[in-house]
Amino acid sequence: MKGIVFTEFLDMVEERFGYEVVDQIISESKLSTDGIYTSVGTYPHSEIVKLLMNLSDKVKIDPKTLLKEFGKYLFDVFLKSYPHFFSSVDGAFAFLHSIDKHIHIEVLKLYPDATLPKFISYESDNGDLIMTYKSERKMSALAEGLIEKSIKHYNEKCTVKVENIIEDGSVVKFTIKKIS
Amino acid sequence: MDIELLKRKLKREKISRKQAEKILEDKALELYHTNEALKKLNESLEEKITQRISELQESETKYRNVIEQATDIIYSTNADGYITFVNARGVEAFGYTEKELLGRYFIDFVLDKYKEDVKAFAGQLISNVVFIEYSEFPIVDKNGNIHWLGQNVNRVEKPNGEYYFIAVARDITLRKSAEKKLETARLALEQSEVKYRSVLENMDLGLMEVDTKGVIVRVYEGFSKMTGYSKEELIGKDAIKTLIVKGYEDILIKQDSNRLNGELGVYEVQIKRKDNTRIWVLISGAPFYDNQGVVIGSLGIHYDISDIKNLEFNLEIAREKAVESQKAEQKFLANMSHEIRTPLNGIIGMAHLLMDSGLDEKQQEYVKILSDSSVILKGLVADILDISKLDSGMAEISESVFHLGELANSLINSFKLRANEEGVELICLFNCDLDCFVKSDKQWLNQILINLLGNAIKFTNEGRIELNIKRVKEHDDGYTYSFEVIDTGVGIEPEELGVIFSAFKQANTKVRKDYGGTGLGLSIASRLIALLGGELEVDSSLGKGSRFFFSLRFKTSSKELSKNTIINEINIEARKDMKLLIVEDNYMNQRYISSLLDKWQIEYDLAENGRVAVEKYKQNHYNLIFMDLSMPIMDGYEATLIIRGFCKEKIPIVALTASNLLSKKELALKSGMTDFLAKPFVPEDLFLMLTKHLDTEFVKSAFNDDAFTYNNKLDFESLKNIYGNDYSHALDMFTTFIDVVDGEILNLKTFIKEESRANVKRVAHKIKPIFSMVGLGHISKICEKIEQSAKSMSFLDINKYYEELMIKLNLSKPLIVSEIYKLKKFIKGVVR
Repeated sequence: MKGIVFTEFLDMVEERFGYEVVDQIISESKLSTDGIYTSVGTYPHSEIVKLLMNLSDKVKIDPKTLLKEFGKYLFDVFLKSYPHFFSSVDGAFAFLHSIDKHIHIEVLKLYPDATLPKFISYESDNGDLIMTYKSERKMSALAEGLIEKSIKHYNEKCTVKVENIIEDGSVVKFTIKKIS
Repeated sequence: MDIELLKRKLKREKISRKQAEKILEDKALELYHTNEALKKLNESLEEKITQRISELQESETKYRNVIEQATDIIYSTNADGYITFVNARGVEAFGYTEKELLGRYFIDFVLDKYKEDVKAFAGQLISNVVFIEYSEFPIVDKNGNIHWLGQNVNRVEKPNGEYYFIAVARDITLRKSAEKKLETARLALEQSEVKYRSVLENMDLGLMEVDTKGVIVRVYEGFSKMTGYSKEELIGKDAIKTLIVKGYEDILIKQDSNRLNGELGVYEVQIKRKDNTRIWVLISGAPFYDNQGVVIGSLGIHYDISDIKNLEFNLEIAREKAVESQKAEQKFLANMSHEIRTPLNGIIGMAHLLMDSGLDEKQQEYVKILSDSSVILKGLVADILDISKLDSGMAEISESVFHLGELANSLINSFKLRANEEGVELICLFNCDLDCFVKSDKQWLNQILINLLGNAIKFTNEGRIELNIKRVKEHDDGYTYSFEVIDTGVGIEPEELGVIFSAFKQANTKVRKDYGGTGLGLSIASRLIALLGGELEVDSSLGKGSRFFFSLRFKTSSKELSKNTIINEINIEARKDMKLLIVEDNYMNQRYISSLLDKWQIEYDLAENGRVAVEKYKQNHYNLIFMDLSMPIMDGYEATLIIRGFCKEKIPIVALTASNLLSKKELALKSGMTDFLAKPFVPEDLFLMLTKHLDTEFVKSAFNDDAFTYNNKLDFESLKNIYGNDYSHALDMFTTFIDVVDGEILNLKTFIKEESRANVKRVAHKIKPIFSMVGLGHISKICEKIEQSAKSMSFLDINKYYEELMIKLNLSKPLIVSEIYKLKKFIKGVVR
C-alpha cells in the first residue's frame, strides 16, 4: 500500500477527529512501522486495515462509510497535488476512463512497485459508464467515494450503482448513469 | 502558548515533509523518464546490433564463399604460426585434407632450406616491424612435390591485443621455374657476353657502325686505334671515301647493298690509316635494325690481317719455290734416267741384234758377256732409280689385268737357266686354278719376285728354290694370295734379320765381298710389297736356308686379258696396207725398233726429228707414229701439236721416252699423244702397243690362224663375235654358266609351281642372256617365250615351255662342259 494512503488517511483522521484519535489508533494498532509513514514509501496493506478498524471502533462509524469518506477526502488531495490529471479531461466519464488508461500508468512510472486496483471501464449502449473494480484489498468503498466526488467535481449529476460481482468484494461493478 | 508554537512547528514540519515528498516524486518521475529513454536507447541499440549481426553474417557468408572459391591459397594461423583456417585452394595446394592441416605448424611445410628465412619473416611480423609482408618460398606437399608460394601475410590485431595471421598465397611454381630458366639463360648470356667481349678485346677488333648511306655513325675504341683516327674525325664521314683504299670500293658498295637486304658478309679489303699506311682487314658486316625491323645501318667488325696477308704472300713465294725445286728434282731424275737408259738401251738392243748376225762361237760368247753385263748394269740403274722413286714417293701403281700363273711360269723359265748353272733345282708350286686373272701392277709384282728369286739363287749353292703361290682368302671382289720364296741357302744370322730390308745394307760386308750386288734387291722388294699393300717377312736359319713371304690382295677380273704373253708364240704377217712412222733421233734406238719391225714384217718410215716427222706425215699415210720426246730441231711435243693441228683422222701417236715420270706422261698426253712407251722396252711391249692402237682387223688377223674353234652345235659365229680372241673370258663365262644355271632353273621351276607370275617373268628375263653367252641362242628364245607368256597365259602352257627348256638344256649341258675342257686346254697350250 502506497504511503500516500497512510499519510492522507491519518491527516483526515486528525482533521475530523483530532490528533488524539490518530495517536490512539496508531498506538492500539501495534504497527510494525510505529505509524511513521511517508507518501513515497510503501507499507503493509494490513496496517491500513488495522488503523481503519480501530478508528471505526473508536468513532463508532462503520469502516465502509469511513472508507467512502476517505475516498472523497483523497480526491481533494489528488486534485491539489496532481491538478494536471483533472484539467486534461473535460468530464467525469472521461476522467473515470483515464484512471486505468492514464493515471495508473503515470503512477506506475513513479512507483513501479505499487499494487494498484484494476478499473476496467467502458460505456454501455445506453450511455452508462460501467466500471469494474478488481482488487484483493477489497477497498471498493474508497473507489466509490472517489467516483462520487469526481462526479461532483465536474458538476455532473449521476447515479452510482454498486454491485459485488464477487461476494467478498474483490470484484465490484459500478454502473454510473448520468441524470439528465 | 507552547502548544500553539508546537502546532506551528508541526505544520512547518509537515509542509517540509510534503515538499520533500514532492521533490522525491519529481525525481522519481525524472528517473523514470531517464530510464525510459535509456530503455528506448537500449532497445534501438539492440535492434541496430541485431541488424549489424545479420549484416555481418551475410557479409561473412559472402566473404567465406569468396575465400573458399578463391584461386589463391588463403589460410590463417594463430600468433604462434599454427594453422587455424585454410581454404579449398590451400587444401588442394598442400595436398593434405583440411583436417590434417588445421592445427599444424605452418613452418613444417616449408622446404627445409627455407625454414629459417620464413621464420625470420614471421618474426618481423610478430615483432611489429611490419604489419604486412610479402615473401616467396617453397613448400612440400603431401606427395613430396615442391610448390613455390608467393604470399602476403597480414598481421591482424584483435581488440584484446592478441593477434593472428592471415596469409594469401599464390602457387608461383611455374613462374619460378620460368624465372630460373630465364636466370640460367641470362647467366649463360652474361657469361658468353663476358667471354666474347674479352675475346673481342683480346683480338684487337675494331668495331664501327655506318648508317644505310655508308656514313659513319659510331666508332669504338679499337677501331680508332686500328685506323689512327679519333672518333670525332670519323663520325659523320663517308666510310668508303675516308677509309677504303682505291680499287676496293666496289667490294664495299656490293657489301653495303647486301646489308640493306639483311645479309651478313665477311670480306677482306685494304684500308688506309690516318698516316696513309695501309692495312689489310677482314670485315665481318652485319645489319642492325630499328624497332620495326627496318635496316638502319650495319655494324662492321674489323680484324687486322696484315700479318696474315704478309705470311700468305711469303708462303705463296715459298710454295712456288718448293714447286720449282720439285720440278728441278723431277727433271734431274728424268734426265738421269734418260741419259743412262738411252745408251744402255742401245747396247742391249745392239747385242740382241748382234747375236742374230751369224757370229762364230767366240764372238757369240763375247756378245753374251756384253749382253749379260749390260743387262746387269740396266738392272742396277733400274734398282737405283726405283729406290729413289720409292723414297721420294713418286712410284706409282699402274694396274693391269694379268694371269698370275703366266707370271710365275715366265719367271721360273727365265731363272731356270741360271739355277741350272748354279746347280740348284728351281720349282714352282702354283696352287691356283687357271682363272687366276688378277688386277694389279704386273711390273712391280714381277720385280718383287725377280728380286726375291734372284736373291735366293745368289745365296743358294745347292739344294732347291721354291716359288709357292697360294690363294688364301676370298673377298667379294677378289682374293688374297700368299707368295713364298724358299731356299736352302746360307741363311741369315738372326742379328742381321732386322737390317736386310734397309737400302744399301747387305747382311754384312763379307756377304758383299762374296756375293756382290748393290744390296738394293730386298729393300726394293720390301718397299714395293708395301706399295701394293703387303708386308715382306722372313724366316731364316743360318746354314739351312731362308723363307721370304708376303701376301697381297688382288681384285680379280676376267674381262681384260693382257695379251702380251701370247705374242711371242704368234707369227705375224705383214699387212700391205699398214705403215708406221718411227720418230727417234738416237741411231741405236732407231736400229732396235726397225729391226723388230723388220722381224715382224711391218712397214715403217724413219724420221730423225720432229720436223722431218711432220714433213713425212704430210706426204704419207701412216697407221701409227712412235714419237721420241727429246729431239734436236723439233721435239716430240711440238711435232705432235703440229700433226694434231692438221690431222683429220685421229692417228695414234705413242710417246717413246726414257722417263717413267708421271709429269712427262701428262705433258705427252696434253700435247695430244695417245699413249706412252717407256724405254728401254722389250719386244713384247712394242707389240702390245701395236695391238692396242691399231684397228681390230689387224689384231684379229694376227690371232686368227691359231683361233680356237667352238663346237658347231653351238652358235659359234655369235660366240666369236662376243669373245673374239678373249678365250679366257669365254672360259670364264662357260664355267660361270655351269655354276649358276641349275640354281636359276630351280628358281624358275619353284615360281612356276607357285604360279607367281611376276617372279616367273623376272627369272626368265634374268636367265635369258646367259644362254646366249654360251652359244645356246635357241634356249634363250624359250626363255623369251616364258617371259612373254608369264603375263597372261595359263601355267599349263608356261609349264610346257619349261619342259621344253629342260629337255634342250639337258642335251646342251655336256656340250658346254666339253667346251670348258677344250678352252682350258687351248689356253694352256697358248701359254706354254
